[in-house]
Amino acid sequence: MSETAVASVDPEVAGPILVVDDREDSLRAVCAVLEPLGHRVVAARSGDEALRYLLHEHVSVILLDVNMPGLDGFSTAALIKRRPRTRDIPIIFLTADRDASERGQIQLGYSSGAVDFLVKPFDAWALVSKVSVFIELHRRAGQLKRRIDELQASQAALSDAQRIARLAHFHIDTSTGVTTWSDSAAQLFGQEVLTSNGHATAFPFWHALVDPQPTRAFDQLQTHWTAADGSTLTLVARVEFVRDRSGRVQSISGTLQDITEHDETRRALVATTGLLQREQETARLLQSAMVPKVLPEAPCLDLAALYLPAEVGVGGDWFDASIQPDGRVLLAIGDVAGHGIAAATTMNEIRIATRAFSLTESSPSRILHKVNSFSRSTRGADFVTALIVMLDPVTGEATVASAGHPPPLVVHEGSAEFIDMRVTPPIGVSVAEPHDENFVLEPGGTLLLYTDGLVERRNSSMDARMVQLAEVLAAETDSAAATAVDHLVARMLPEGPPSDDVALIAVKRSTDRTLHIRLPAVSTNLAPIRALMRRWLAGFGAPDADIHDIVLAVGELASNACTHASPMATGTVTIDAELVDGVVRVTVSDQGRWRPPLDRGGGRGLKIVHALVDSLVIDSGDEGTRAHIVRTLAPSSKETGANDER
Amino acid sequence: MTNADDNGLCETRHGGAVVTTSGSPTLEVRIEGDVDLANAFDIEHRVGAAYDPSVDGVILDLGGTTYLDSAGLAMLVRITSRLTAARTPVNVIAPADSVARRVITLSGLATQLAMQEDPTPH
Repeated sequence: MSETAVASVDPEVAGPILVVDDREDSLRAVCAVLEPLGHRVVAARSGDEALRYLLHEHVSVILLDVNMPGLDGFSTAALIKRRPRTRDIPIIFLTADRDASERGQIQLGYSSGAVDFLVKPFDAWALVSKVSVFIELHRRAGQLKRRIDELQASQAALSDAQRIARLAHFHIDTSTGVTTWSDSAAQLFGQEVLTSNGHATAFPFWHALVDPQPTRAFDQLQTHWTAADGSTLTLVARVEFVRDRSGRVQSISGTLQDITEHDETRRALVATTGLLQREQETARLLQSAMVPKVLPEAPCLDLAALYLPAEVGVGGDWFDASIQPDGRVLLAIGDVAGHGIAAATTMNEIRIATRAFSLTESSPSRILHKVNSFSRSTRGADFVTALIVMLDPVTGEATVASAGHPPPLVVHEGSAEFIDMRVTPPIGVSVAEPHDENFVLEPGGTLLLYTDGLVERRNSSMDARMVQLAEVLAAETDSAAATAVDHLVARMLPEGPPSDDVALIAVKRSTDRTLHIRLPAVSTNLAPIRALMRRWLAGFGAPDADIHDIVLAVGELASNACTHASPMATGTVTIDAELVDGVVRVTVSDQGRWRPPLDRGGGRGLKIVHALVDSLVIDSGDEGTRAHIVRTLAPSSKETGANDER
Repeated sequence: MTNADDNGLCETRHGGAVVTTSGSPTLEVRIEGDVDLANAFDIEHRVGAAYDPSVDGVILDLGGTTYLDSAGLAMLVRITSRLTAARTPVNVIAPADSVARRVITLSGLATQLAMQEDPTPH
């Protein structure tokens, strides 16, 4: 273990960079390149040495050589990812293999937890910029986690007062024409600025700001305004139009923020460091690090997603998909106003907060409410739209809530419909709690979540664009999700890169009543596997005793796959089940090679499975192991159409 | 997440299970929810942390356990054999119609786990 480049960095804020490489020349080169960053760099010469160091020390980012004698880079990464203490440290793999991408190494790297890959000999600038982005992200993620912990601990103690002191909110109800202002408006701008019906006629930009024309060029403007006392303020005005299904404006909400001080500081910073030039590149790195590269394979669902950066560069759109402990699939999509690094970092924090709150809150509206409270108390005047769907892949039952985000589109048998939902203001604007709307995604139906970059286009109304979107998707009834996404982009954005960035997720529900689940073979996925099995069997009206036994048998086999078949925690477990004439057949497959006598726990697991089923057959081969079970349901019950009726 | 009240009742959450420990001179451990590979080791550590050699016995109450697999059984076997080695009497409570009872019976461990259907009055 050796240390170089000791600099004055607060260890509480950022731990050292750990470089793991068995070759001395390579280590020296990396350390020399990283030295100007001013962070402590620690070198380890093997995977074992790195793991020993990580037992006691906290690091910000790990650079890990793939090819090392003994424990190689992937195995080292898998062990790092297994320990809760080190699980969240970003890992960048270093490889000398030019053909890495073609040999599936990069895929393997990402699945074992890498955030990035660099091929040696690498460009020094690329290495430095990637490492600095991840150090910054790691620091922010640490802060964010502490903030979320604090927030949840103190429940409602959200003191907005200081944060929003320089921010005023307004809300215009277009049916009555009445404008409501937050109390802070009068303090910021003086009572005389706001007229009796709330219209702020003293602002020269007011009419342009609240003009609901769909062709308007901006939703955000920065301007100077001279107050009655002669002082000049720099104001940022943001506005969002809440439309009904036909695109008619129902209400307008927005914020006016006094950024005079902030603006001066920022200009000084930009002037001295030339930050703006590097900002765009860093934002691109951030975006590519944060948008999932591989979507989880959702049970019984065909999932496809796409992110298209805007002409002018990366924006703040994002999407996410994950499986909940109860087996439901969480889909999230959102849009942070603006471009560049500020939008990308905000996007990242909102995305992480959404994931974190999805573990404690059971409905989309509650998650959005928590994210909103979090955002308002910690970040101030962000302007973020977001939409969350929780979808039961077995029954198709779904719940959706939106904060200022355009409604999802559902296509079934050639007809497309937008979900009719009450839209609450964007995150960061008000304390209004979003509403949950329920709908059912029918077998064979496709659900589309998108950001407004897809439907907003200069010189054409949003209305017409949404009608067009529905028509295009309706024609894709029989397409796989990935094909539907490709066709949507080709038809909706034929002129190439959009003027705003675009994120899309399409989810198509399977038409048959078999159950197909494929998830990473890790023990935390056992709970969702059981929950899905249970609901799938209940949908056929299977008796409770049968459900319990089958769930236990499948749970044991899946548990086996996690224990034996996945030494590097990079494998998957697949469950295929069918129920025909009262007989349930399930196959549990993995990529490992285990045989019945090797079953640990004294063979208890397989003994239990044997006792629960009519037959158990295990095939073990080079491709992996497949366990087939058959169980006949109790005679009183038989297959029913219960699943279809819901 | 740990909450302890004045009666020495202590509740902890481990994945899908909630473990409540209480009492002296007999340590009572109630395991509610799902026990599987993901949380069996955490629960074992929790019981180990609550154990004090001065107790006159340990009761493991599985009446509220909603799922128990072989990883959970292996945990029970490890706990009971360790306690037996320490000469601490241990009772596993699994009511006749409980999920835990069915799994324990299927695995043939009923005798080894010194199982009882109802809590022992004390």
